[in-house]
Amino acid sequence: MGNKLKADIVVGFCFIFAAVAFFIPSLKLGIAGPEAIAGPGPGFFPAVCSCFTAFFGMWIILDAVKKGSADFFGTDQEQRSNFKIIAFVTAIFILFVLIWAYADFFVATALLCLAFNKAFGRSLKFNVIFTLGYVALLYGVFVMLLDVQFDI
Amino acid sequence: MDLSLWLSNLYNILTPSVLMFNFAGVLIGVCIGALPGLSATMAVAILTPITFWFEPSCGFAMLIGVWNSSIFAGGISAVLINTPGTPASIASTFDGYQLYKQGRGGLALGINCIYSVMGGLISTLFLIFLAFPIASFTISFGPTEYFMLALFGLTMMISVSENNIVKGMAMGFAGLMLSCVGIDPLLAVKRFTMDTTALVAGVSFLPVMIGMFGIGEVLNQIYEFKKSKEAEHMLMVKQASSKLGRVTPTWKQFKAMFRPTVLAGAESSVIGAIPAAGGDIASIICWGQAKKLSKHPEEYGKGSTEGFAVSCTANNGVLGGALTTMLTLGIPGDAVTAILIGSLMMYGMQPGPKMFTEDAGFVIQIMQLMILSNLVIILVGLSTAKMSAKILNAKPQTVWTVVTVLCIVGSYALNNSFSDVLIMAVAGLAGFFFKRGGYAPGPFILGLLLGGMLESNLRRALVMSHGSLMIFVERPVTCVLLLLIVITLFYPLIKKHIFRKA
Repeated sequence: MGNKLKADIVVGFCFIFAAVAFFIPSLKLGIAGPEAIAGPGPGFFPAVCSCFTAFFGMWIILDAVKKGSADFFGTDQEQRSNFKIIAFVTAIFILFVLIWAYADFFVATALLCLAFNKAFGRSLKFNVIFTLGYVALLYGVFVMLLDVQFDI
Repeated sequence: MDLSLWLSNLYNILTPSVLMFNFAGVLIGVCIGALPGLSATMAVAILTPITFWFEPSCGFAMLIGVWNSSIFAGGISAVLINTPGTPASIASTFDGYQLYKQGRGGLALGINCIYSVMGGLISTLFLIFLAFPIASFTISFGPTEYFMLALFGLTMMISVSENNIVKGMAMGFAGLMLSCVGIDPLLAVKRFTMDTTALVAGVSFLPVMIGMFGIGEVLNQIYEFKKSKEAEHMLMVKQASSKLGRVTPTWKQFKAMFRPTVLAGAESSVIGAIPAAGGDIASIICWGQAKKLSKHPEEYGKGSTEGFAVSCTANNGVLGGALTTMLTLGIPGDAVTAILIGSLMMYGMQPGPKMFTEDAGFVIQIMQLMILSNLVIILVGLSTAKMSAKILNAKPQTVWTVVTVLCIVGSYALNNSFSDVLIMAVAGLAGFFFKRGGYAPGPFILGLLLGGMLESNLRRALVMSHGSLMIFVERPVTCVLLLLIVITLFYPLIKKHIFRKA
């Protein structure tokens, strides 16, 4: 129950934090508009929305305290072990972004495909054929046909 | 309706390039729709940025093709493995899988194709005959009516909140808050841009959609994957390829199915026009209704061809209705129409009544593309019915890799912007966590999309009334909309009642 309770509380606080981050600059922008137009100012709408976001964020927290939080990640052992794969693909994605930024998009894509297929337990033969075929297809469609430039 | 405008636009879409893009869209939609877990929303979200590289008619030909065919193809896996490919095909599992178990799988696939097309065509007629009168009525709308319309669209936050309204509301208001980033609509002041030029135009809507519906879904599927279940699934797929039998219904069967399916087509078109009431709701309502009116209600749920045809008609029957709301009022009926609105805006068009005067030709092209897509679906669907089981052989792991790379390419191709890729990735991670915690992404997307419309019209109306809120209840249209908003607030109770009955 302890861990379960935490998840929605954390999300609720995230909503409140985001609401405060919008509310304070809204006040600076001005809730009331200039006298000439006699209407609300640029800060009015974001201030109202942030108040509601904070209100519902608080409601989520109270709900979690009273009724318990949603079970974000369950208790199934087989599924929990999939977390490692998710962490791995996230790390690969970060690496992909770096390789794209400092080297080349298609090299990064090929490495991403190889790493993903390896993580998903595909055979080496499949992995190589799939990666080469898919990257060639992407190059053909996007660079040769549509003239998309993947340079940052 | 100007006939010459219709003919000139028909001439414009009957070109090899438009036909080719539409055909490609239908094929892609069939593959995506048939695979459980891959939704029409995901398909349209990923393909939309890519279509910006084409002419608007070609791009929309592809998107409309993908949308229509993926909803139809959701019925393929419903028939063969008792798992709806898209949520809209949920009612197709009631009779479709039973028909397959009785050795009439081929017939079920044929009915799925024929009656999905029938539903699509009936709802397109609904769109053609109602959209222009609605648009000519709404052309006189001012800021108060538009504010109420946007508010009406936003009350859908409740109905798309799935099971937890509080979480849905929090997501919706967070979306509204995020929609304030960029230039103020009235005074042109920079807001929440953190002094970066990347945020001056606001938070890009499509990368967020691609991330939430693409990467978010892939991560969720990776998390939910079980090796033990995969073996079971593959066995079912292997068996599905055999003994499908006759595909087309006999004349007698066709006659028996005609009346209930026409009724379902009309009913679902109206349901589709109600924002957030999608194919799942429509097919369940129509299936239940047809059962009550049927001469053989006892066959429903046990392999009734009539019941199955009704659910297939209804899931595609909502599309024309959803397009009617989107084109005439500028309000998204569901996630796909939200993306289509974004897509039209990228092409420099603003969905709403003005589009019927400023871009009437393109409105007509969209209607004609709906008809064209359905004609292509019937050709592709019937000729490949027996082969469609092969699509289900695709391993989810392959799909995950393909979708991830397409999400990256799609979000980048939108504006050739690397920051859009990063926004997409963050939205993907957020989408995964939200999905796990029961925070529906629908309200967030609605808030992000409708925030601008809501704020600008609210402030314009208040400037007109010198700050008085009475302006919102002084006009008949705003009063009617206010009433609709109140009804919508009670919608979850009605929905719960319908599902319980079904």
